[in-house]
Amino acid sequence: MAPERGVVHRLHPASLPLELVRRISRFGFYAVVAVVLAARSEELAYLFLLLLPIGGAVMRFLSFRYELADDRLIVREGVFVKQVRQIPYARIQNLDTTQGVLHRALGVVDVRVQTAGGKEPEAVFQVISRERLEELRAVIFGARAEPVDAWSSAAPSSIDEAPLFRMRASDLAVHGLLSQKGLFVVGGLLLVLREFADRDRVKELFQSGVEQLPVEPRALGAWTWVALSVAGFALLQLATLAWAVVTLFGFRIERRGDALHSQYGLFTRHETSLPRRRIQALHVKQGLFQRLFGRVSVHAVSAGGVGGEEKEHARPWLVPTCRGEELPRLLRSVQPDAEFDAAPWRKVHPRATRRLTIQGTLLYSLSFGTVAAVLISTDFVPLAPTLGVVLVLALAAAMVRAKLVYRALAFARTDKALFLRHGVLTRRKTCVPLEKIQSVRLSQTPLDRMARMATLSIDTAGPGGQHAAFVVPYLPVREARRLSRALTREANRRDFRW
Amino acid sequence: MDDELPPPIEPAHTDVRPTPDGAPEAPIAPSLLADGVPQRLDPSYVAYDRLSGWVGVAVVFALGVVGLGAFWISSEPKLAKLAVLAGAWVALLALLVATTLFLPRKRWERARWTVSRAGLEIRKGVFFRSITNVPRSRVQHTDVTQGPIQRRFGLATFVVHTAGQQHSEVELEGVAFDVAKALRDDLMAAGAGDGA
Repeated sequence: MAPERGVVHRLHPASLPLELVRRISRFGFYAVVAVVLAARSEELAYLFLLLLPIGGAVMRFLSFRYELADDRLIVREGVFVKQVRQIPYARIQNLDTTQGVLHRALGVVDVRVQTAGGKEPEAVFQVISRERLEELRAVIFGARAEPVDAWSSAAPSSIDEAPLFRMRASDLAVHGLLSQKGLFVVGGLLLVLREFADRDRVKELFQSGVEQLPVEPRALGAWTWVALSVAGFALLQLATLAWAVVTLFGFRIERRGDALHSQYGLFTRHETSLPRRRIQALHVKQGLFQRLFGRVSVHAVSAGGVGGEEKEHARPWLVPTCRGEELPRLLRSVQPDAEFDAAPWRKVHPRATRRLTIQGTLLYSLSFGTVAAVLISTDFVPLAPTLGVVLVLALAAAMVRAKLVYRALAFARTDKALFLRHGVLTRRKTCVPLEKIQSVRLSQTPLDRMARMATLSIDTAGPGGQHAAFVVPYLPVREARRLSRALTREANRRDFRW
Repeated sequence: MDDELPPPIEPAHTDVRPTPDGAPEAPIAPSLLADGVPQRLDPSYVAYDRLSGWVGVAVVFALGVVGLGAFWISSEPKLAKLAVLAGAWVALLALLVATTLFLPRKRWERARWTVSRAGLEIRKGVFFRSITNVPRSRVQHTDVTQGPIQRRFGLATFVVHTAGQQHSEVELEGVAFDVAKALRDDLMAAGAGDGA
């Protein structure tokens, strides 16, 4: 089925009931208030309040139109304030879809179209059928024209190659255990209980429950309590695992044309398509516990569509958790230039260790000193020797930290990309292709000036954040200057493509 | 000294730019700009920066008088508290006056901008120094803005926008209005698309 151009489409009719469910669940409180008011006053007029969300859904459904023009997507919506958006296909960064259980029953999807500008998605289709989605995808990414049912198990025949990555049960388990979302599950339950249950009633129930227990709680021995806590902990871990399974079940990434296509979720299924060339930077992160299990996570930063109200729809990772061994193969197909292992790594200025030691000594003296001050003020320990111990300890700790930080910190430049690695407990690696560099900045604090060092920061169109930003501190000034000149030249020579 | 940012390079021909006392010369041709030679800010930047500094001093002075006055009038003031607040105010004023007197000249001496085929380079800072490079092909759009004080001195701020996130706006404050317009013409002239 070749996608037809210039035909105006509406949303799928299932949009109405789904939008209604969404609005009612979002304004659930409002609905409850309306019903309670109606019940208390026996005044059915209050039920008309319920019509507001219904009216909103109907108006939205009736006013929404979209059209696949030759080179752009045209979206019209609004009843009182009309809005026409024209989005050139070339500007579209990615297409994210979500499919809840109800959506799946009805064979429809929620689609978000994101461009580089702004924090909100450029267009939201709530909802269209799968065929329409495939049509959209085909037109936007110029991929295959025939519809692909990604959810059928017979999918491989319609895919360019075998999945780039498939999350195994063990990956899922490790990811779940490391995220410890079980606490959220338990916290959520407690919150629901607090909101909707009468406190005295709960207390009563609890007490009657305790009374009905076959044993007296006080009579239980220490070992029983230990066993109970272990059981409680195990239950928490189960909740954590359940969370991981529900959210990430069946996670896999495939390549379709130039786009990376990932899908996951047990009940609510998510699908995202990200063109490879739109990746602004790649981050590989390995936390302390991930390292114990030999796992890493990969983040692909693309421009736009992050933060704001749509945060829940932002993809925090490209790969939530994978084995270290799988990483090179995966990176090769995601961004061939991101050869972390082959990069000519360079260290920063050797005197960085000394600066880090001085910095650390001051820092640790302050924190150890606070503890010591408390101990001294309570006459628990004598003054002079304690201060001496504090200084020695602070110096030792700072020296160890400085060595570790220095060892972890390195950068590299190839003729294709720029690399950075850093972090002692959580190890981070970043790769920025040279054509994604937006600007280069060298900065120098008074301390830097005394030590003849400078800090190099690279700005890209991808959101940086505290750890994701590409910042190389403690560079020898001359080298930093050479590097910033060369990088500006290299970036300028290459055309930036969104 | 050459381990510092920026290295003390003397501009080769500052005389192309408007002189402090003379009227601005004819607008600078774009071709003249992209010469890769470091340029200073307009000499009137010093007076402009100083005047902005004095405005700041006046604002802090006024706010202090109002604030302390209100504190004095309101429920019987504790003298010790008042003295501490007044002390802090005087110290802040003294600091502002000192920076207003001495920094503008230093800032002007340290600042350089360079336009070359590769792009725009801006050096600035007295205590905290920086060199920012924006490749020519990464310029998304530019602004030339002129505040009320700047207008008095015929100065402007030239702003380059990139698609970046942290430094998406790179500002060059204190060039003559004509120079800013010439910069805009030069950097936008290439008309480099983003290839999308």
